[in-house]
Amino acid sequence: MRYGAAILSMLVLVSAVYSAPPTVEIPQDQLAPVNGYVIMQPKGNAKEVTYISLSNAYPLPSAILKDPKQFVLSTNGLANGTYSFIAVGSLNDEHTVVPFSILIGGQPNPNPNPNPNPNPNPNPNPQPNPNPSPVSAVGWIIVIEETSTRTPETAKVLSDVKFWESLPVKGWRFYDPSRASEDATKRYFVNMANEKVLKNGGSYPVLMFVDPNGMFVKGVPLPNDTATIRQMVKETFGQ
Amino acid sequence: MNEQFTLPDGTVVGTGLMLPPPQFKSDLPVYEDSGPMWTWEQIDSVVKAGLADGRKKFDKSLIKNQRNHGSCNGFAGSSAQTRARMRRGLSRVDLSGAYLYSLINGNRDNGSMLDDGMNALMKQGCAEEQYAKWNQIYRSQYDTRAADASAARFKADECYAVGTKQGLFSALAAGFDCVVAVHVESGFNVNRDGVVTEGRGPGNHAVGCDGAIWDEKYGYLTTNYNSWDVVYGIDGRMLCSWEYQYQYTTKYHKFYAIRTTGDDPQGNNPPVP
Repeated sequence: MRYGAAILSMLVLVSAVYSAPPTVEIPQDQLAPVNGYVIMQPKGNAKEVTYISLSNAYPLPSAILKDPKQFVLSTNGLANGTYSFIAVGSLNDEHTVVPFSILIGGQPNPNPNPNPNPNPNPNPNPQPNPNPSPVSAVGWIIVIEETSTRTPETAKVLSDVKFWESLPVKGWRFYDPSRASEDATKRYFVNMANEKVLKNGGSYPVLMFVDPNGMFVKGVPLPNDTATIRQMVKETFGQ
Repeated sequence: MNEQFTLPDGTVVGTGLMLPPPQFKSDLPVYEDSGPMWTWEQIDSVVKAGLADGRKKFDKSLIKNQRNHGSCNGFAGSSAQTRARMRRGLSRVDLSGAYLYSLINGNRDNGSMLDDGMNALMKQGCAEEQYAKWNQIYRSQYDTRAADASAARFKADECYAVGTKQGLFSALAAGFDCVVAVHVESGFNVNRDGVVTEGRGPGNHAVGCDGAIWDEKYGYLTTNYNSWDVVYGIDGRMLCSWEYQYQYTTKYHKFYAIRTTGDDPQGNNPPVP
């Protein structure tokens, strides 16, 4: 009789463990678009996670992903706004539903729990830094260059692939301004060069630093040596 | 033509460059007319300083293997496009030589013309390697819809026919990838300097050039990559010259230079707010 009770309680315990719904946790810090994609890796013990769109934005089908639990959404072409989804985690025929949303463009909703500081410091003691910090987070380097008129001086800099690959930046890209109207990204950066760097004259090639969101930081005529560019990267992005 | 060549390890590999018919007239834009050509002094300033050596820019992991098919032109073009993308800051994506060949071989494994390879790279692009493996040289052998969608992401943007020694070395010194014709015959192995000194035929094989060097003994040499795996030459590479090879083959074939490429719309591109 005593053994029977023990076995029964174990069965109840095992049953309880196996029937527990899976856990699915959505890391909020992964819900922002980066370079045109939102890529989110859910946490938890769900064996499978399926995503259902509640807006007109559709993640890539799980079947084509290396990790089918991953959420991958291309944000190219999506209008600014909030897009809602449901993650359905599954484990042993048990399911957990977790709603989440993604903000494309614009500003996030204001903090619903503002915490104003009622005790401002009446004796500020500012200590200016004699070595001003970089002006931007690490971003991109963009070169606009008319390849048909590439000079030896330019070639020495631009064709040093190993140098460009070694720069501690988010990425780098060379654009030829020809037919810029055919490519929105190219057009954007060519216009940026024309309006921000060449507005008072000058000509390509132009070297520009842009922040992680694609906003102009600064631009100069392309230096003739890689050491100068590396120094400018350090001054601009702090690395 | 898909003439066969035996590598030092006994492997038989294909070639695959087709001679244009006698009445053929290329309509490709000409590199030498597309902008000011560099003088030899300008070319010297880059090449003799060792700054255009493709071997220092691209390692042997990029070397491909067409095996026994006549797909050299597809492999040369796709590899040149891969490198041209990397030179612009795009991520490395290995493109399919078999796919490019399938677009231009007329459904026969009998080689193809350089002109057609260049046009296909610009108009249709080249699919990623996983969509057409080395032996999938006909469109009936792979998923055309998936492969064509991939190819549309990887197009060459500005390509030009190169017809002179000065034009070729000008383009290579400037850092542009080229596809050229060589003539493979029994002596097409590299010598101890890594140079191919044989091959004075009209051209039956396409290879890529990713740079140029100057050598006291040989003069100007192009740094080439073949598509016969790393077994061939030195890590899959060889050095060729205008005098040994190109002065003969350029009479029949239009070499071409890829000056720039398009972005991959799905790639890691700089953000536009």
